[in-house]
Amino acid sequence: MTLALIGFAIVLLLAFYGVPLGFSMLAVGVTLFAWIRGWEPALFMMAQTIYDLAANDGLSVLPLFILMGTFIYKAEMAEDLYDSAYSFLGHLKGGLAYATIMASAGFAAISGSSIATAATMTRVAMPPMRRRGYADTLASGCVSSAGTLGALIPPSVPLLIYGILTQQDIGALFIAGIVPGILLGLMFMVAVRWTVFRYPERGPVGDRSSWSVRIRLLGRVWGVLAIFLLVMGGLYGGFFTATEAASIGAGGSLLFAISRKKLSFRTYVESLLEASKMTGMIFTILFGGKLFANFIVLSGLTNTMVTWIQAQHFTGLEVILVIVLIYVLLGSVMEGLSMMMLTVPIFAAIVEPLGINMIWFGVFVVLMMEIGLIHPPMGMNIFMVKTIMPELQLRTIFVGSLPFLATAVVTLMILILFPGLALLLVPKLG
Amino acid sequence: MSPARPEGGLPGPERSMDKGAAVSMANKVLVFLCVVSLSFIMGLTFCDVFMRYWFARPITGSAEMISFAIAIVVFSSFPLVTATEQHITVSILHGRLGAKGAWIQRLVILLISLLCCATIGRQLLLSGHMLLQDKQYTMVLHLPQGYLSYFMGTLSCVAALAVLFLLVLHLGLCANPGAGRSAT
Repeated sequence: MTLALIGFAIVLLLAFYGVPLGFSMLAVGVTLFAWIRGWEPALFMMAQTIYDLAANDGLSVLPLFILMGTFIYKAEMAEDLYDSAYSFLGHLKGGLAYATIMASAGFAAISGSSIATAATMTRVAMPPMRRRGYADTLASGCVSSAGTLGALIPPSVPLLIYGILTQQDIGALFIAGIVPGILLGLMFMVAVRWTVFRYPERGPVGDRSSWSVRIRLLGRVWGVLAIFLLVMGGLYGGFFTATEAASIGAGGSLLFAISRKKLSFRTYVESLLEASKMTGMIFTILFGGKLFANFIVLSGLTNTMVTWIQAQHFTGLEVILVIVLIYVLLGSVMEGLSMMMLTVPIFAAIVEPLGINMIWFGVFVVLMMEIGLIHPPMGMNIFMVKTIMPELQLRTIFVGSLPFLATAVVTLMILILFPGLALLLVPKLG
Repeated sequence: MSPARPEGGLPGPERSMDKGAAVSMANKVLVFLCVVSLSFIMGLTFCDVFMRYWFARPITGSAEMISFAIAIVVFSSFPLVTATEQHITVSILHGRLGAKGAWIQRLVILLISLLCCATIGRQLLLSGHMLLQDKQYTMVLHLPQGYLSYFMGTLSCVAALAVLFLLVLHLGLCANPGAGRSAT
């Protein structure tokens, strides 16, 4: 157990020093495995693990969903989504902020990435909000926070990676993300409502659109709705496996981007290259994470912890609260995906024997990741907004995201107290 | 992988042109492999779904072809990501170290990256040799697993070479006395 804790500390040290997380976990995992079993078995285990992970047809779901998001991004859907949401909600107080949340949810539903959603929506939604006299705090807080919906609303890359790490049904994980994702979106709208109720000058009323305009604008985003319904409907109805849904989604997005005349051969190649590189980055962390997890299992850390927790008669809720605390601390210094890769193999081994549903746990972990994306000092989405809008003060964005952070924490509490919410739709999969 | 830009004490223009051409060629080959393999995965899975549901005839060995293609995507992009230093990092020290501290930090990062890439490459090459010796083939299409392991190992070695190149550039900067003095 001591060796495992030393290993964990070295990984954190190397990662904080700037060594790529995948290489940190790989180097420490293999070296300490060799410390226990010798170099030959450690190196053999390394080659075998990497080969098995890389040449695994089940993992093709990862590049395919990334590719689906990339095609949709290239199809320049974000503006149309935003205009469509604005036509319905713009006339309300804070209407542009509501529209941003709706459009982010729509974009997230097909892009699968929080940071990509935040980056895109910052470019799309910030300029009109500022033109309409929205306060920078509300506008920037809204775009940075609404981006986090990408991690929860399926198809979600973090849920996918959780599924790979813990060998859970990816389709079930996606379905489980729907209700908490919608709940989080609604909670963000509550945050906007509260802000404009308290400070009406921060979110002035916009124009009311006629129904003919609304229907015309809705017609431009049919593709997003169609792809989402096809992918999720196929998964939910049991027609597709996750891989098949991903390929249908990627193929559908490609056709959709072509139909919008947004995809040349050059952008097609760029999309594939971007998706390949993202896949390479994630797989490197997967290699490191799996090798480190192998060492952790060999060291006996998880067994010792499980035995200790059972001896202390801790309940599942108490363990979850401790995990929340660890995630808040780690989320203050680490980016979400790295945090997940480092902790999930250990936490999953601890919580599973306590009878905690692993699909629910996946949604919980991803929600914790999302909260980490907007809480100081390392909120990645906050920095993304700052990068795109350098004239904004970092403090302004953090202050603006506070009401959204508060509602995300409320959502987390609801998820912990009512775990059935995440599993509401899952049993129907069978 | 974009051709490395000369900085500080770097090789002369003729040598860097040769290296630039070699790097550019390697880059094109890797990009080609990524694009073709990922298109193949998308196309094959898409067709497989249609064949399975509409004609009740799934494509034979599609899972094996996809498993080979995904390994090709992962390991073709690995040198590209490694050479451009795009791997996911935590880096809370970014911008907080002095010039000398940052120089040492990058040296450590490159050394560990080199060690990891080279070790992965060596082991996958050895594993490929063993798989070929043991005549390990896939179940349906009888694809030789050893050659895939060789491919993965070779591209890991290419990634190691790319890191070695970056390391040489980094140390070249150190050899420049002016740069060294200004750094301190």
